[in-house]
Amino acid sequence: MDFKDYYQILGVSKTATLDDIKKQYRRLAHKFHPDISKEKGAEEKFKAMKEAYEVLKDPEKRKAYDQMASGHHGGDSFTPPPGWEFQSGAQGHSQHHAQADFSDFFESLFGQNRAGGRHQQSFSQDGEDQHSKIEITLEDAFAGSEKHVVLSQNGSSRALNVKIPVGIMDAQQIRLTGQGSPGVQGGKNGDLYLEIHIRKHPTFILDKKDIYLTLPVTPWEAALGEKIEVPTLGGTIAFTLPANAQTGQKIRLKGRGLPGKSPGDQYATLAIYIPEPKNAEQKALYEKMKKEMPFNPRKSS
Amino acid sequence: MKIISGTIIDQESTLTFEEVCRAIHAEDQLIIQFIEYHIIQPKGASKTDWQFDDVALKRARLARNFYYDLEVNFEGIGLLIDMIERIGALENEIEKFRQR
Repeated sequence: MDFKDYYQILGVSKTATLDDIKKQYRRLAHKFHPDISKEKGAEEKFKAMKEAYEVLKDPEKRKAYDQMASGHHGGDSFTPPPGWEFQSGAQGHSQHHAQADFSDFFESLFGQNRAGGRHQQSFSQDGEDQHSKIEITLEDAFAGSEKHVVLSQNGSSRALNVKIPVGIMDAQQIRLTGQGSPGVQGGKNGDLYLEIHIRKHPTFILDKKDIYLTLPVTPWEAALGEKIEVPTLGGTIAFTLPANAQTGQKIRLKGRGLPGKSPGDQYATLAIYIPEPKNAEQKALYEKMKKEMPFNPRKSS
Repeated sequence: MKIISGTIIDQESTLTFEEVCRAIHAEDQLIIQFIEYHIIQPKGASKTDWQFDDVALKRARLARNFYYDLEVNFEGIGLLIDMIERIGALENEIEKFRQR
């Protein structure tokens, strides 16, 4: 495993006071917290920072780390010194740590499962619930699908195929009973909560269960109220425009959004596109309209 | 490989108080504080019939992360989550306009 230079990760000097360390952590946490930040790689950066802070804010851990760290550089290959023993006075952080998912380096020095740290457990204990995120397409959400999910559980990875239910909305969570961390000594398995993220679609915009779309139409389709084809997630459907339809007007296609007990609707916003006159005859058509259909869209009614 | 089916957490398939605590790895007291500060609002009058839907679960998870990671107080957590939701809704509106 690699040695981690916690001072470098947090961007503080080796002589920084606890106050300096706290301030620096807060500054960075506001910038990189994965639930707030839009920066690329924020999640990884934040995880590393949090681990560094966990050690440097605790005077006992920091002292032990400093003594052990002299002569090591970030990225050096590392094994804990023989006879390494760390016993912290502060307890009661286990619940917090459990989800923190720190590096092997941290675990080997301060973790509860480090070699020689804890004896083989003899009592039964339920496995913890787990949380994971997956990305799906809008088509997956509309029609349902199956997704291959790879989880990291107790340091190893486990793959499972999960059914994506029809009509699932963005940011919803699927609860998979018994698919979380395994129980110990006959304890129950935890559950897995899988958070769904629906990728942006090139044509359709999703809002909860409704679908939004901009629909280009010709001037004569709009003026005469012609029958046109409208793309929907379930395939193209025919729709007759109201006569004299205008740009910006919204048509509602009931029940054409994401399916469900109360299915969503599709809203198509009309956008009238004019054909470019390419020759004298076509230009003349516009001239004729200008003469025979006096019209000023800028005049307030 | 077997295909595993689950339940979508929504307004009908909700979680109990104990289930939420387990799901987000938080102690009872922390979730109770979240409720007292109106950060999450379960349905039901008392602890035994509290029901947590998808919105409550999502907000509880964010609140827990902010509580441990950002060293913000409960008022700050509530405000932060409301703002995040508002930004999300605005981004969605912008997306709709941009497409035109």
